[in-house]
Formats: sequence, C-alpha cells, structure tokens
Amino acid sequence: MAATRFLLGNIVVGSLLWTITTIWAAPLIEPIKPISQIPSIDPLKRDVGRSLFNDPRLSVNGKVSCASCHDVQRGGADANVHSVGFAGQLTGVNTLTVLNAALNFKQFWNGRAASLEDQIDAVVVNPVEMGSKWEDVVKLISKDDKYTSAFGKLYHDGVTKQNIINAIASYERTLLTPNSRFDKYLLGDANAITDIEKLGYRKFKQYGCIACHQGVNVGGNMFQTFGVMGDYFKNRGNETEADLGRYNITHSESDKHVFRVPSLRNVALTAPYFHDGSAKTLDQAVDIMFKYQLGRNAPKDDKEQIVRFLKTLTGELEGKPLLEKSASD
Amino acid sequence: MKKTLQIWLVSVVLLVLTGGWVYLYTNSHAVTAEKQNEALAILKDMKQMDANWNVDVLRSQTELNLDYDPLASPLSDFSAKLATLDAEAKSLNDSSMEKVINDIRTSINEKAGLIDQFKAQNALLKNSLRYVPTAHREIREQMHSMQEKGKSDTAHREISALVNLESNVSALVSDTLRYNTVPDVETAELLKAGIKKMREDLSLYPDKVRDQIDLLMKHLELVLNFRNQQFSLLQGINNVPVVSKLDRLGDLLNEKFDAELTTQFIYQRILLTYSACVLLLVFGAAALIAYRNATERKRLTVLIDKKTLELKENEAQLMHAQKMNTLGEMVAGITHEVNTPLAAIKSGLQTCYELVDTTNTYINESNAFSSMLVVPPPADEEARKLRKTRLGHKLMQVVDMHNELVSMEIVGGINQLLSDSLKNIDYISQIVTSMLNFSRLDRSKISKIKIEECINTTLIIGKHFLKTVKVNKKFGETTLINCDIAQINQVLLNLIKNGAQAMPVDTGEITIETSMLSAEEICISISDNGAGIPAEIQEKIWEPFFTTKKAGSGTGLGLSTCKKIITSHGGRIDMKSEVGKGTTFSIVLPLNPSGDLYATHGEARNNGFVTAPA
Repeated sequence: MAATRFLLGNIVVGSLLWTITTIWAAPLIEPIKPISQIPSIDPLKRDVGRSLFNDPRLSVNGKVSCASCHDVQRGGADANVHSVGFAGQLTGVNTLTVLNAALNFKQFWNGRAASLEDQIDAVVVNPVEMGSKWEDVVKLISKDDKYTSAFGKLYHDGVTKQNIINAIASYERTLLTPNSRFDKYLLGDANAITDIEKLGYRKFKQYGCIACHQGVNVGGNMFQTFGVMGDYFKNRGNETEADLGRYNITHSESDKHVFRVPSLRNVALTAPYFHDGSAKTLDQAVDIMFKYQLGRNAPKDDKEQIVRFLKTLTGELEGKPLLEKSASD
Repeated sequence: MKKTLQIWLVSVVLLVLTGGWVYLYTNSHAVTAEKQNEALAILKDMKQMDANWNVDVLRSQTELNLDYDPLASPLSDFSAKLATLDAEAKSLNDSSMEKVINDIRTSINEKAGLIDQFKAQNALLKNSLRYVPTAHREIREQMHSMQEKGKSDTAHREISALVNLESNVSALVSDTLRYNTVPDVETAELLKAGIKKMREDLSLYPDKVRDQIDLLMKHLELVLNFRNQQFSLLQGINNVPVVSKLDRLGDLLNEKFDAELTTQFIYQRILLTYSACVLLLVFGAAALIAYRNATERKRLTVLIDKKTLELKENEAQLMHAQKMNTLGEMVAGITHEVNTPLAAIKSGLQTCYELVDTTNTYINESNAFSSMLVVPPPADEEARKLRKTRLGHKLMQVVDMHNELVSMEIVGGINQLLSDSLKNIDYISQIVTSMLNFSRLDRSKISKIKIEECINTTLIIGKHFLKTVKVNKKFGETTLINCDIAQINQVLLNLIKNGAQAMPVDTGEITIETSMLSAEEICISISDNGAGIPAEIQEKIWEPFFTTKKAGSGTGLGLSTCKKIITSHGGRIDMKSEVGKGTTFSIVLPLNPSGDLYATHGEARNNGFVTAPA
C-alpha cells in the first residue's frame, strides 16, 4: 500500500540520514533555523527591564504587571484561555508567549505592533489589559528612587516613556530560549533527538506544516488565514470581533480571519492553543491544523510523531531548561 | 576725553569688521558633505535592501530560500533607516523632505503588505501542489480497489462509470498541474468549469471517496486561485515604486546640497572681496601710521636736538653759575682776608706817619734851637737875658721832646710798624698768589700739578671759614697729576667748606689725606667729624639744587658740580657718612684724565704740554 511504501521509504531515508549525520555532524540546512546568541546587554538595563516587567505600577490600579499574563517560568504565557486584565475583564485573545517574541516580525495575533516597543506601548494603555496612561506611569516610576538612580545612569534624560519602554524591550530581547534538543540537532548533533522525533520532523515537513511554521522562530514571520480548507469560525460558532483578525487593522476583505502565524518554540508549555485558546492539548491543536490548514487526513501515528517532534522545540531560559508542566500526552 | 572716545570708536569698528569677517567665514565653510553623504549612503543601502527583497521573494517562490525570515527582516531595517532620515529632516525643518520620506514609508508598507499576501498564498499553494498528486493517487487507488472488488459482483456499466469518474478526476488534476506550469486563461476557465461540474456530480461518486474528492477539489481551487493571483502579485511587488521614491529623495537631497554649495560659493566670493578690502584698509592705516611716525620722529629728533643743546647750555650756565658762586665765595673770603692786613697796614703807616710827624717836630725844634745858638748874642743885656731865657725854654722843649721820643722808642716803634706792614703786605701778596693759583687765570686749563699744592692753595683761600676748625693734613707720596687745576680747586674748596659748615663750634676737625690708590690713581679723602648725613638724603646730595641749608644761603649746586668735574676727569667721588660721627668724601682721580676732559676743553692731548687753542 502507499502508506506502507511511504513508511518504508522514509525509514530507509531516515537511517541513511542518521548515518550521514553521525558521520559528518555538520549543521543542517533546514527551513527551521536554530536560535544563535542571545544579544548582550548592560546588566543594569536588563535588571531594570526585568524589574519593570514585573512591576504592577504599569497598570492603572497596580493590580497587574507584564508578568501577570506573561509568566516567564511558565513558558512566557499563562494557562488561561483568556487572560484577566486589571479590572477582572477578559482579554479578547489567548496570551502569546513573551519568550522569543523578539524573533517575531510583528507582535499580537493581528500583527498591529511592528516592534516590541509598540507592543509595550499598546498594552499599558489598553482599556482591558492595563488601562493606564503613560504620564501616570512615568510619574509613578519617577517617584521610586531605585528607578530614578538607575535611569539616571542608563539614560541621559532619566525616566521617560521612551526609556521605560526601551528598558522593558531590552529585557525582553534577552528572553530567547536556545539549546532546545531540536536546535542541537540542527547544529549537527544527530543524537540530540530520537528517531521517532526525527520521523516526526519529516512528517512535519511532508504534510506541509513547515510551509508556515518555518524560520528561526518556527513561525512568527508571516500572516495566514485561519480556516483555509474549511470555515473554522462557522464550525466553532460564537464569532467575536477578535476572530476577524487582521481585518480589524487593515479593513480589507482578504484579511478577514487572517492572523500572524504563532511560533512553535516551547509550544509544549503554552497550552491552550490558538488565538481563542480552543485547543487544550497539542493533539487537539494538531488535529485542527490538519483539518483546517492542511486540508489533509493523517493517521494517528503520524500525528503522534509530529507531537513528539513539537516537544523537542522546548529550549533553555538563562541556562536552565524549561520544563513541561505535565508528563501527560 | 576725546582720546577715550576715539579708542571706543576704533574698538567698535574693529569689532564690527571682525564680526563680519567671522560671519562670512563660518558661512563660507559651513557646508560639509558628511551629513549629505550619510543620507545618500542610507538611500543606497535601502535601494540595495529593496533589490535583495525582490530577489528573496523570487527565491522563496522557487524554493531557493527555505524559509520566509529573509522576507521579514528588512522591515525593521527599513524602519530604523527611515527613522534616521526622519530625524535628519526634522533637524533641518524640511517639510518637503519629510513628505518624501513618508512617501517612501508608504511604498515600503505597501510592498510589505503584498509580500505578506505572497507568503501566505505561496505556503498554501506549495502545500496543495505537493498534496494534489498524493491525494489523487489515494483516490485513484481507492477507486481501483473498488473497481477490482466490483469486477466480481457489479454490472459493467457501474465499473465503466467508475472508470469515467476516475478519469474525470485525473483530467482535472493534470489540468490543474498544467495550469500551475502555464497559467493561461483558457485552462483557468476550463478548470473552473470542471471543478464546478465535479462538485455538482459529487453524488455520482461512491461514498467512500466523496469526502476525499471534495477535499481534492478544495486544493485544486486553491491552486487555481493562488496560481492565478501569483503572477500579478509578483508583478505588483516588483512594481511598488520604492526605488523611484528613494531616487526622488536622493535628488531632493542633492538639489538642496547643490543649493547650499552655491550659497557657500557666493559667501566665499564675498569673503574674498571683503578680506581684500579689509586688508587694503589695514595697509592704508598702517601706511598712514608709518608716515605719521616718520614725521613725528623727525619733529621729535629736531626737538630733542634743540633741547639737548639747550640742556648743554643750561648745564654750562649752571657750571658757570657754580663757578661764579665759588668765585663769589672766594671773593668774600679773600676780601675779608685782605681787608684785615690792609687795615693793619693802614693803621701802622698812619701811626708811623704820626711818629714821623713828632720826630719832624723834634727835628724842627732842634733846628730852631741850633739856629738860636748860632745867632751871636746881642749886645744888649736885656736882649741877652731874653735870649738866655728863650734858649733855656727851647732847650727844655728839645730835651723834653728828646726824652719823649726816647721813652716812645720811636725809632724802634717805627721800624716795628714798618716791618709789620711789610709782613702784612707779604701776606696779602700771598693771598693774591693763591687766588691766581686757585683760579689759574694766568695759565691754560689742563696741566700737571701736585695735588697737595692744590689742597694747600684751597686751604688758604678758605681760611675765613676754617678759623674755628682744626685741619689735619695727612699727605702721602703722590705723583704729579694731569688735571684742570682750577676745577679741582673748585671741588676741594666745596668739600672743605661743606665739612667746615657741618662742624660743631671749636671742636671741629677736618682731616685731609692723600695717597696713591694704584699706580695710575690718586685718592684724596676729606673727613669731618660733623653732624653726618642722614641715610635718607645720602643719595639726594648729588642732585642739583638739593641743599640742607636755609633758603638763600646755599645754591645746592656744589656737590653736583663736583661730581660732574670728577667724572669728566675720569675719576669717581664717593661719600661715607654716619649721623653724629661725621662724613668722609673720597675722590679717586686718574693721573691722566679721560679723553672727555680734553674734548670739553677743546685741547689736544699732549702729555700735559698744552697748546693754546688756535
């Protein structure tokens, strides 16, 4: 049968590849690129950025900070379908991870922020998320001697909106997670991932997941319609404004339900998945992707292998490997 | 006041001129190509980035690029470069430049949007193209297996129908794939119709494959759609006028720069002319000042010469006045010295005159007596008695007179008086000789003499103020000295007089010493034990018209003249003094005086043998 022949062929090629890679151990040329160095930064600026990232004074009532929704110890996001803002309101979309966010070409599901700086600016004044005003934030931060002395050392004009944003963004740029097992594999360590995981990666490519989830961040560098091969939103129901995706920004018909392709790095830690957080597990997410994006059927084994592969994308933060929250699945 | 105003005016003018020059200079050197080159370099980089972006699109389309990172990364680079250009335009306050920059930004965003569409469509297109053959194969296999199964228990018609259906699917697939290779309009229409028909006829297909075929149709539609759009999309991406807008900015920048250069050139020209004018001005001013200086100098030289002449004349007059003064003093002294012996002579001779008169009377009476004796006695007794009485009287008179004269020692007395008068006359003659020696009016100016002679002469001349003073002379062995004797005497008289006048009464002592300081120099010192000269005025005593005497009693010219005389001889004069103890003046004179002395005397230097002036 075609499937068996397919499988056999793959095994042959796979073992061939294994032999070659173990002998040669050269970096692989793949559509996914490993994370190279974390940019170096003035330690004082990083500490200030980290401090501000965790500082609830950025919200109008001092109840939430960046870290409230972007928990760096928890994969850079939270476990909720929707996150909770300063006044208990729910955000419109699932929180994306801050880890490796510096590698994305735009920020937010609808790509409305062209840079990390724009994203920080938008969140602080967002009426659901932090609901504050920049003049107030600057005033509050200026009152803190710890900050004023640090800002005085780092910036010639002290505590300003631009400098606060710069400090936080600079800190975020250090939140890269290199040295995932798959990255090691890409860099030439053929034994960094198991055969099944290598198989999973091959399937990932063959089925075409790689068409959108490519590049250094395994995604994050393009937009795509959610529901190419079927009307995802009609089938799910309860369409919201957030579901319109990029249409809310460009008001172009062709941009309805178009979202930024998210990164799959550390995907094992960032459940639930998709902008509506509808997939609770990776298996569910892979199922939906197959149905609505690839328009293909795949045997359960293949999907399982792909999920195994996805789990190899979990990297290290500040030298320590990030851990999956549960061993299940 | 006018001078200060002038200075202010000149300073202001200079300041204005300098300010003008600095202004022109800064404006003629202000333009640097640095900023311009930076901006043009940025534009060049952006053009290169744009070209690379185009190439990367095609590389993605041909799968030379395995991922879309190269299509995403230019965004942040463009953003940064545009921000730099924005800052530049803001700093120059150039709204036209800002407008063009915004134009560029719009184009880049437009291109980015098209590229986003491309990325999305390209991903799906490639996936579908890859899947279509697989999907097709699966359907075909399914249908074959059904045909195989059907062979045994279904009618031929059903089998042939299946075969037809299957070939329809194959046809569509191959048409789609052909369309992907050569997307022409006819094939598109064909495909659209074919897919539509397939959907309509879906119920004809067996259950098992219906979903698969439906899915396949979806993929074929996708291929049709996206392949159709791809060409125009790629064209659109290529046609976004980023380069032309960048060029427009470049032209704008060049225009501005050229304008600035032209302005700068004009300023340079102005600066040149201005500098030339200022230079001319400066030279003119310098020439004027030089001319003024020259005439002024000439005038001043003439003035100086005149004044020097006047000064010399005044000096000569002063010296003459001092000399006169000295002479006057000398005359005063002399007069006194001469008058005294003269009075003595006169009184002595007067007395002699009287004594002679008395002697004459005795002689006359004796004569008369003798005459009476000679006369024979008269006959007459009476007459004879009278004659005897008269004779007796006369004899008495004569004897009385004789006794008187003997008691007066008249001869001795007259001798003495005459001798005294002779002595006084000698004295007067000595004084007159001293005067002559002192002033040397009988001889020419410079000649040889023993310094001790001069001292002695002077002491005689100055006798009248040395009455109460003891004079100690300590003379050494000295050689004859060549000098202006009258002048040296003048000096000695001055110093001795000064010393004498400083003395307390009766206890005053002046000590005069002479010695050879060296083989060619004589040293004369005149010391007194007078009041001394206080330290504050010790320097001043040499100044002309300086005197400590009451007004009218001294001219103050003495010491300054002395110094002049000694200096012109080539010697030196010093003073040591202590208040309460005394003063010592020391004179050092060369045996042969300096040439200056001869020059002032208008005589030839001839070893002391002086030739009279011609």
